[in-house]
Amino acid sequence: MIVAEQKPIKEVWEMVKDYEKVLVIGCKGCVTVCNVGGAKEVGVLASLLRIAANKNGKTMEVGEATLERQCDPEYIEEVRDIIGEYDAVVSIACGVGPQFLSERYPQSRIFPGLNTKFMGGAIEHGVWSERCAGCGTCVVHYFGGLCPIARCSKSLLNGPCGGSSGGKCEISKEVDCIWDLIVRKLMEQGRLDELRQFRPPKDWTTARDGGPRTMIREELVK
Amino acid sequence: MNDFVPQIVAFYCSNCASAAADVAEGLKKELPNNIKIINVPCTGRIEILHLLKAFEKGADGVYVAGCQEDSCRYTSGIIKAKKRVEYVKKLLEELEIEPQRIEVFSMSASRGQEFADTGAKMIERIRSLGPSPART
Amino acid sequence: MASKKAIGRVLVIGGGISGIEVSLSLSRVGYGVYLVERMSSLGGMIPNLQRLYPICACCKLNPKIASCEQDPNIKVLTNSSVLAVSGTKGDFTVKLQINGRKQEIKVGSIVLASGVKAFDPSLYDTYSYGRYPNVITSVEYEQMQKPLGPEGGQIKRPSDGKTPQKIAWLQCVGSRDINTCDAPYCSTVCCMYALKEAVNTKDFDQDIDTTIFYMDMRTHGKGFERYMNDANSRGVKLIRSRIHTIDLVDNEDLLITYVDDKGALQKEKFELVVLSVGLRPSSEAVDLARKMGVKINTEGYIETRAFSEVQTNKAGIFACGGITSPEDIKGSITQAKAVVSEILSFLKPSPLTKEYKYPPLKDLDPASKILFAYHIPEGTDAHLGKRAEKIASNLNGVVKAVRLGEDLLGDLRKKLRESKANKIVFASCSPDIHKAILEKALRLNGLNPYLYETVDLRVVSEKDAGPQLEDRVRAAIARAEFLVPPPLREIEVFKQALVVGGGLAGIQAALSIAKSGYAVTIVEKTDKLGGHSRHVKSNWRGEDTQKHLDKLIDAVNKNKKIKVLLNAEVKRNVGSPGHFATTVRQGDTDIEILHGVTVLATGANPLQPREYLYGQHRNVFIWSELSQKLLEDPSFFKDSKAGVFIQCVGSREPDRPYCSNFCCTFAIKTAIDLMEINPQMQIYILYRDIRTFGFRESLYRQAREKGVIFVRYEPSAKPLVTADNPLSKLQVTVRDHVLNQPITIEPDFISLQTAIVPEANPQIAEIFGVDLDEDGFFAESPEKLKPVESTRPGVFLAGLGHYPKDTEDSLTQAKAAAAKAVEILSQDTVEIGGQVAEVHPEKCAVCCTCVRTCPFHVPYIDHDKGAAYIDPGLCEGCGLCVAECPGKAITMVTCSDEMLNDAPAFLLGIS
Repeated sequence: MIVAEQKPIKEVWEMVKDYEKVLVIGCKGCVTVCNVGGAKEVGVLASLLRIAANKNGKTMEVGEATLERQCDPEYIEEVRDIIGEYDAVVSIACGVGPQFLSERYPQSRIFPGLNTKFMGGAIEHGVWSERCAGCGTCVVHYFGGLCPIARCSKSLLNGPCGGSSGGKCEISKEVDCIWDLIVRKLMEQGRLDELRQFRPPKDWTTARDGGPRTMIREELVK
Repeated sequence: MNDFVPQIVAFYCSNCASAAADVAEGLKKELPNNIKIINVPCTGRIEILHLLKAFEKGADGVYVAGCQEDSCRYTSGIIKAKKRVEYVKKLLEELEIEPQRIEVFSMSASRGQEFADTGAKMIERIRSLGPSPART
Repeated sequence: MASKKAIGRVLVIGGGISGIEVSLSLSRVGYGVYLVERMSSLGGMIPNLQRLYPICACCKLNPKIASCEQDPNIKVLTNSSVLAVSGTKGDFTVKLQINGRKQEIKVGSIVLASGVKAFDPSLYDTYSYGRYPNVITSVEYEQMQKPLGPEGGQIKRPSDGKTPQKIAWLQCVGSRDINTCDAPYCSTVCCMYALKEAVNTKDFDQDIDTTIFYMDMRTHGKGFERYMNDANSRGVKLIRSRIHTIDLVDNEDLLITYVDDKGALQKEKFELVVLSVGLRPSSEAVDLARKMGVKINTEGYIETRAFSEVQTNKAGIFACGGITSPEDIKGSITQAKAVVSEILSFLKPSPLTKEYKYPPLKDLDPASKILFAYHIPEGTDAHLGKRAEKIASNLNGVVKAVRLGEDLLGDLRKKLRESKANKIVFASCSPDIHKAILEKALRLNGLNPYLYETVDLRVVSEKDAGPQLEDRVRAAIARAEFLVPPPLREIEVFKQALVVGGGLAGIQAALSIAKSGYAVTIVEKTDKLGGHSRHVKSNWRGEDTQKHLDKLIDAVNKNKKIKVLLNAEVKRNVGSPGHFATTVRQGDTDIEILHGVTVLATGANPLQPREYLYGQHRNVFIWSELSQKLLEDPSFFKDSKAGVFIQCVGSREPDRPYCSNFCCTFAIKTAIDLMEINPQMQIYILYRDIRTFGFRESLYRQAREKGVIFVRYEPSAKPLVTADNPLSKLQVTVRDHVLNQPITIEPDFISLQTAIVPEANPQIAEIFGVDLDEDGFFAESPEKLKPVESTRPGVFLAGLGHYPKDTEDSLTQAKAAAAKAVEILSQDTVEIGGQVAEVHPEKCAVCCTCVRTCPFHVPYIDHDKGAAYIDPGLCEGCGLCVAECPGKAITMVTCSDEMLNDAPAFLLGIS
């Protein structure tokens, strides 16, 4: 899933403080699953904005809505009848949400309420970890199912580097050296030899380096 | 400042806090009138939004009274409640509202005195902070 | 079989915790109970205590007392006593004196549950109790710590009212002493309560210096060792020394002279001395027992029969709690439940009142019609109630506001009927204990039993009750408006029990359940029944365990209600109390068992040590191997000159910080048995603390009299075991604590008292969805004071998987688990729903938040529905998942978001 985090409430307040009617829109997709943009968080953010307005002596009416997803036009359509009543909209979806909303409702002022972080998964309740960098050419099978593109600080294909120490990455003691894990995993599997094979530099054009990406599947297009 | 009567919303767990109330009653302690009680089956039921709503609606202070950490009959209710209160403190701080306006207390029947004192303590704390800046 | 059983009610004598527990359990399985208490109120010893170890459970006693008083099947007779008993098992006639009036009742069985009293140390010169004002008993100290005690929870010493800065506890006052106070036994509870009092003192003021002077620290119960370690790390000092002199200095302070562990004489001044007084049986109870022909043992307690801690010599008369031996609260409760099991096996229940028949539930009128009812006990000032009534009657939705009389249930029913109300808001001084009555009244009137809210009339200002009271009444009525009836469903009870584990505890549990009239399946993973008790020669009292085991196995084989699956293992379990399904694999076949309850009696194994040459020298045994050898090849020991027992092998270690409970007693008993075979043998027991709790202490004395040598070692200087080669002579070197120098022993054999490790528990816990405690044993219900209940309803615990315990305790616990099982099996249906969380699938994001948040592992993702599912039969109703669900897909109608979100606005007057 796409993992996001809340923007500091202060920052969101600064964005919308001059508007009198603000709509907070959540998303039932990834950001609900990662406990940051679902119906519950819509309520929390709306309440926080009202508290901030009270504190700053402003009058602000805050509306609440949660869409099935903010990455499909049909669902974006659901706020068609109410969005016009508001001076500003805070989308608490991943970065896709505010853009889809902006594209569909060009008259509205749309603000992002979240910072989109990465593609990853829940290690346990409340802890998420990055797993995929969306490079466009998956190679995890060479590395015991562990992705060095997303999880090595340098995205090395032939690691580890000299910064690996005690299983940790030199950038921080909190960060595992994925190459340390890859080597251990392949040792356990008795396939360490496979790492002898040199992996040539990756073609990054399938990744962001190739420019913004669009995908078309002809057999699906009407 | 002296005539300021803080409005305080208190969430009470129906297990330990109620037993503590029993003792407090026996001690002839009373809960001041400006403490408004909301009962919950377990403090783990209290959401961040419920806590914020109190401030949104003009409470000067909020507190949660639950069990001792080792004796919640639902094992982790009070621990969850403590984490949620901690989170609300952070949110308040970001909004430049004193985080001391919200607190969580562990009650127990063996400390009925504390039950009675908790309310007074909270009132004193909020009195010194003054009215909530979020009060309209 | 069952038709031959006599039918009857039960007399319970003593209204302390044991009597209360026994009465409530008996009522739950259908018996009418007469509960006789000498004093004017129920509760016994517990109201005197401050915090019950290890957790706060003070909130549990009052509801239990209230349940007794409200139960139509329990007749509580306070200020009453038993005058005479005649008749036999199944048919007793009892003459009672009730409030001075004489009355005769007929019962089928009698339970002696009158408990203990504290030893009176004024008989004991050494401690100057009564002479020096600042020497007090532990009971007096605890009174002082109680917030409702005379000192209001302030610790003050008697002489000058000052808070003492240095306090000493002296252990074993009136226990383990045959010279002066005639109590050779260990009172079992004092080590833990002294630790508790010291820890609570630290809670009161961390700077108060607390020291406990002890002989052996006996923290042998579940979680006790950790409690001691924690106390230690909180700064509670423990000094091993029995104190013989206290001197008065400066008229108030107390000088204690003791010998430290290096043998040096020390003098230390304290400001308060607390005597940890031992327990004595209540003399009135013992007199009564004697009159009934019940035998009293040499210690002055009721003598119980072999392999039954609750059965007296008189058939049909049972005893539980402190009257049978010094017991802590959980031990007393376990015994109380075991008594119920014994009674079930021979007496058919006869209730006091007819069972209620509930009418079908009516549909709820969408408009709230609220009955505001309040209860103020007669004779107390009712002005708060009257004010509440006035406030309520002016509020919308309230159709009637009334005061209830002493017949709460009857009155409520009548007022509900008259007013045609469909919800209740009830006010009283402790509404929590009235909830059962409210639910019953609603149900009897055809209404959903959860359509009520309560108002607590406590801690409201006497002078200016208005605003606080008004808030509470208005809030409750506003909440009641939001109430919608939660879904309720009746499900059929599968009248069969599943017992996992065919060791001693499992066999006993199965037999007890079968004798109560219900089918049982035992699943045993090995090819025979008996478990580890097969290599135990006798119980600590010296009664033949093998014979008893054979008798039990024979009874199992002959009982048509019991099915035994050998070489079988459980694979999967689903369901809720009354309604479980378990898959058992036997060989290649899977067997599906439908059952109403589960008893986990999966046992535990002795640790296989890696120290003391175990596995390297043929004469180094684990205790169970040595015991087996003693059974099978006693001649092996005929020529032995010396033997060594090493205690605490793997127990009480940093990575296994628990005491394995029975090893001390077991080693000493084995040593005595060995000396009977070969009186010339010299036996050494190398120990850290000797934990022969209760009457087991007599074995310790006996062993010393027989010449067994006890050498204490420190964990920092463990005994050293050496041998040149696997066949050569063993050598054990240990530092003697009396001589303070190393001694060397050349034993013919060594017995290692290794820790008890519940190896199978993680797997079993996973299958049955129960929690483990920090030491890997099955955790008890967090609801507290439920020593045979797991964290999952309907799953009960017995034997070593719960915690190490000896034969006697295992049997008692197994019977207790059986009684709990029958509480469920004796119902035809169980009701599920009520205060539970409910998932609305259309909103569910299947994010697993609830699955991960629930403390009881109830929610799961139902892939057919594509949403999370919470089994209403298992949900405990805490609301944790409701609060955490990011999609607001989970609701709880008895405490809804509407109620909580709107409450502040409402209370702050902005609605």
